[in-house]
Amino acid sequence: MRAGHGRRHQGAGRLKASGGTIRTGAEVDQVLIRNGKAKGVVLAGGEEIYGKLVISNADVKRTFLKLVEEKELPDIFLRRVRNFKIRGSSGKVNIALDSLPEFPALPKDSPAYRADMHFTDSIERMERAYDDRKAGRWSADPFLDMMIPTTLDPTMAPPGKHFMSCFVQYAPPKIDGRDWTDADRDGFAESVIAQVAQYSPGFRDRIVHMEVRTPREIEAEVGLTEGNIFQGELTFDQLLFNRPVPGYAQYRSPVGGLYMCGSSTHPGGGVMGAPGRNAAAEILRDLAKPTLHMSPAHDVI
Amino acid sequence: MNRHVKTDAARTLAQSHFRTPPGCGWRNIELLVPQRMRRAVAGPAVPILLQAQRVDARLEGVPSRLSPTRFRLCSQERHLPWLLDSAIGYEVSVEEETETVAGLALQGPTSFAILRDAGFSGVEQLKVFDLAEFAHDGATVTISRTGFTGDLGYELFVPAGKALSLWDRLMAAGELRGIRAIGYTALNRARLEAGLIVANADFTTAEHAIRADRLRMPDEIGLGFMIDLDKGHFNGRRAILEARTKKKLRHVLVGLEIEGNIPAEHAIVYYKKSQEVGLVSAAMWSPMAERNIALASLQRPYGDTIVDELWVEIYAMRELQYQKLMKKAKVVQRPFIKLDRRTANPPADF
Amino acid sequence: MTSSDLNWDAIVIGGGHNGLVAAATLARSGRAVLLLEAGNEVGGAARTEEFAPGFRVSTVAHLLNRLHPDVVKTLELERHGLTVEHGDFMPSVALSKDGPLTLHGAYGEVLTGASPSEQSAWKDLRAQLLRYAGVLKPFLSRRPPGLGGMSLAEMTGLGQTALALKRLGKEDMRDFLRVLLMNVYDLLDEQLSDDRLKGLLAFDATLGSHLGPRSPTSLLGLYYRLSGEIGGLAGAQVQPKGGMGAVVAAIRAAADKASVSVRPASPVAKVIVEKGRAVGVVTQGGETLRAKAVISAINPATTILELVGSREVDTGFVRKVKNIRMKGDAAKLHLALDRPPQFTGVDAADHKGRLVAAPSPDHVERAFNPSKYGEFSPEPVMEITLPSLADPSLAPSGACVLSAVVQYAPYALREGWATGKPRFLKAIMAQLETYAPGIGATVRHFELLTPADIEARYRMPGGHWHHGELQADQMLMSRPVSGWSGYDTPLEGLFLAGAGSHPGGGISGAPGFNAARHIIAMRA
Repeated sequence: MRAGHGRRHQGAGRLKASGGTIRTGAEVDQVLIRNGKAKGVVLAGGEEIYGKLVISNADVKRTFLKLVEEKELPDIFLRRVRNFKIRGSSGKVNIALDSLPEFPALPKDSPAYRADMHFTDSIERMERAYDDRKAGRWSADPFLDMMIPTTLDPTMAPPGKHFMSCFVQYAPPKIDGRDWTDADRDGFAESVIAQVAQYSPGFRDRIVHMEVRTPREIEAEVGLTEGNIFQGELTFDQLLFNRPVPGYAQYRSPVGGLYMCGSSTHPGGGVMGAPGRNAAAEILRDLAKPTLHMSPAHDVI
Repeated sequence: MNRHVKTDAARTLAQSHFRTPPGCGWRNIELLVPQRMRRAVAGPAVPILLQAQRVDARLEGVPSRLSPTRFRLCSQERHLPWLLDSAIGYEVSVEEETETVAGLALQGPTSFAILRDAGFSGVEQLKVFDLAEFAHDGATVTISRTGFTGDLGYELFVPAGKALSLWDRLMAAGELRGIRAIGYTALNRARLEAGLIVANADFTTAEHAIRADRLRMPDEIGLGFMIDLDKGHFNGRRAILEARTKKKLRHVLVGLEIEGNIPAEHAIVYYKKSQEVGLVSAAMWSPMAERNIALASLQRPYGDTIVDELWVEIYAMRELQYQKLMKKAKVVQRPFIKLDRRTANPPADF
Repeated sequence: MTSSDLNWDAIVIGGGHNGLVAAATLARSGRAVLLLEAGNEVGGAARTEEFAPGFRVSTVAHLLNRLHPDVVKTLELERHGLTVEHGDFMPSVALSKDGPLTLHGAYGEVLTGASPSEQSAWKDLRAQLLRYAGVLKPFLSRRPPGLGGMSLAEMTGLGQTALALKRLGKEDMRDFLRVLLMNVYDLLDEQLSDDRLKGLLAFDATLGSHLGPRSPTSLLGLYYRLSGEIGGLAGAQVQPKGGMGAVVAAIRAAADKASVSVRPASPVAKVIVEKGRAVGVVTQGGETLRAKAVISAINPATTILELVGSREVDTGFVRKVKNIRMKGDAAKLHLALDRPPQFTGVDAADHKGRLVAAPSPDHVERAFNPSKYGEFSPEPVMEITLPSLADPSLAPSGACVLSAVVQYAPYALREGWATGKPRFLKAIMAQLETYAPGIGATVRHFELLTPADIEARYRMPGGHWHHGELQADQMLMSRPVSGWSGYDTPLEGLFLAGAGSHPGGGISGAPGFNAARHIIAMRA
């Protein structure tokens, strides 16, 4: 796809066209609740915005442990939200390159240059990378999901230049139980660069700029608790009727008028929009409004 | 359709090669080859169906016996892992030769004459299902008198590096006899007239079936005659036995002759014009048989004990409009066309 | 080849405890039963043997914690010499440099050595674990539910499970479903804070399997442990008087009483198959023995691939059987000691208990990591018993026997056990020395059985005491393989009755008992 995930802007356009309003730079500080019903939100600057419904796309921990006061929630729900596992496990390294890196293992002009590349040639290496993560460190020999989007869409970089996107596992939310430091972040980036350079001679010399996101940056920039990109681990105990927590797997919450629509809810993370779509359907059902205008899921063949 | 000579290069097959010591009795090969088709030494290449443990026809393929202990299996799908697992407990070595051996089918009435003219002397000795080795371009080509057309024909196997020179040799020898390459559509028509079935067209193989009830037993696709339950254990024996004794064979594959001349491809078959009883999997107007023929899978007892009052619903496209036809069908014997030249000895010059 | 004219109703292959239970149960139904044991003595991995002059030990299984009550009752094992009294229950002691913590009674009815808040958290967690394991418990004595074509009895069984779930109440049922396939590490983190207690539980959950506490579904191991009971109390554990061999002796006595013919030193070479039906066996001595039913209480893969032979079964079945994971990770250490060791901070009574050296879940996880790569744990975790303290007959006067299950010792050690074994012993002794300083100097004799040794000595492939990993994909209707979990095999007349079948290993007798009841019910 050209311009990466730019299609979300189309979604924004559609929202506006349907009469919606988007406000940016409007961090929500609190959900306003009166008599157990959500009435609106309070922005970080203190502004109060009222609405009939509040639908939170933030993760379930952020929503119910930060935006909603404890007293509004039943104990058992709070306990389950606290037990929700949302430990980050990945990081991202975006690298601006002066020229296209070479991979001697590939034939010249191989279509693999435009593909998703991995350097981990055994499951043991991946498993050992995970051992580091379990011990509270980033992986010394990580496994990368690497691609060079500019081989498909040259407009993403100045002419002749390239951009490399590395999805990196593993990066724990904390290092040895303490917060990430800048030095940790640089060490994490170095593990990535070192691995790519092993397979691509001269790689370091091509690097113009780097943008490194550990779980710390992911949480700070996007608000994903503990930097978990799926807004919650996708393990059996947090899937289907258990997602995000037992008893509240259908986008509703203990607070009337407050719904969830993020990746913390079923079916989970990944750029697919399914939680949002399903949430909308449930909300319309609560409002006794039709859902005929929603495109149906495909027939199962 | 030109039924003269066809080289069917488009039929790319997966091939495996295996060796067994004499008397090894590898269940998938010897046990399923019908007795009457066995020959002691070189020969036979017989289409067989290899079954899996459940009710499914897991493995289709045509084995050739290259020597008393060497076999080649040509199949539509790759089966190496399954063959390897089937070899456990036997002294069998299996190797994949899909990429190293090229297969070519030379089919049609002049196929013998072309091989002879191309210099494969001795090829006239081959009876149906026989095979022999011949010299070609410093290598060996294995020629078997087999094919998938129901016509006189041969299948040639040669090291992949010699495929082009073999092709050229045949094309040169056959030029004046009208040799030409054909594609799948032509082959499909020929095989249908011969009443031969194709995996994943006329039945669904286990590897492809997502729904358990779409699998078919050999008895349900007209291959029950190949099963000999007295030969000891083979894959699927218990399932077949159980299905037969518990009357669980729910389908039957039949040849149909349909009135009119509109091909009934993928048409629904009805009993008394109203009750759905099956589906046509392949159909054509046969210019050679001058009949409107089809293969269909029906739900027993229809097609089995009840063969009257079968109707086929055909949607004929007429100038961007469907015309629905309800045509009478009767169950007929396969093959739809039987060509004496397929088995004639010696093979006829043309 | 000689041929016996005698036609047996049933031939049981393998005189381990499950084979004995199956044989005795079948014989009590009036069947003429022949049991063939390869070794010179019955008992299999439940034997008590001399490992050094004057020192005896239960060489594989050393604790009794799940002998099924139906087995005890049906075979009248108490009349045959098996006694378990409440006072026999052994405590579990979590060893740690910070001082021990002890679970008393049946799996910690009382917890000592922990803070009051931890004691209260443990009380809740223990109750919860026993409640949830209790929901699964009825499955132990039933054939696993079939996926297609269930009988009325099976439907009723499942219905009862649904009812049991409902009886938990809505919120408890929700938690049951949430945690069912969780890893034990995360669950412990949610509810407990004492590393010693968490380490002990993490150890118990992963004991006998190729899992670390953080491996998905590792909690199931703890449920399996707690679904067992002894003396009517779930989670309890005892060391039988006279060692595990005494349990075998009681089952053997029941078998003898029921007129089972037991033939030791009679390894079976082959199961005879005629027209797809098992009709008898040929012994390695060449004797042909025919029977209406052949019941194999040995390993399922050995049974199918070696005794039956892959030629008699379909490729798909062979594939499934070959894919059963059964590479053991547990070694067994026996030490003949000059005198009883002193574990630091552990009182005299607790020395008679089960001493667990697994100081934290992270420690257990770190011990597990190398086993993934074919290496043993440099700091192994273990379960230690000193059986001669309670039963002085096991050691010379004043001396002491130490019996320990040690993890992780991968069956296929990359460097090979020839060189690995002395290094592993050193690693184990280093751990023991930290908990019982001076113990090394009192070792008179040692025996370390790696999974490779256990395989060779007890004919257990992979040296795996469950005869197949006891993990979610190899449990219930997938044990030993999917489609064939109800003790039947594709061969009519051939049944499986060993630990490789549902519900699994441990000295329970359940697989043998369930298989026998199934055979009796189908009048085979």
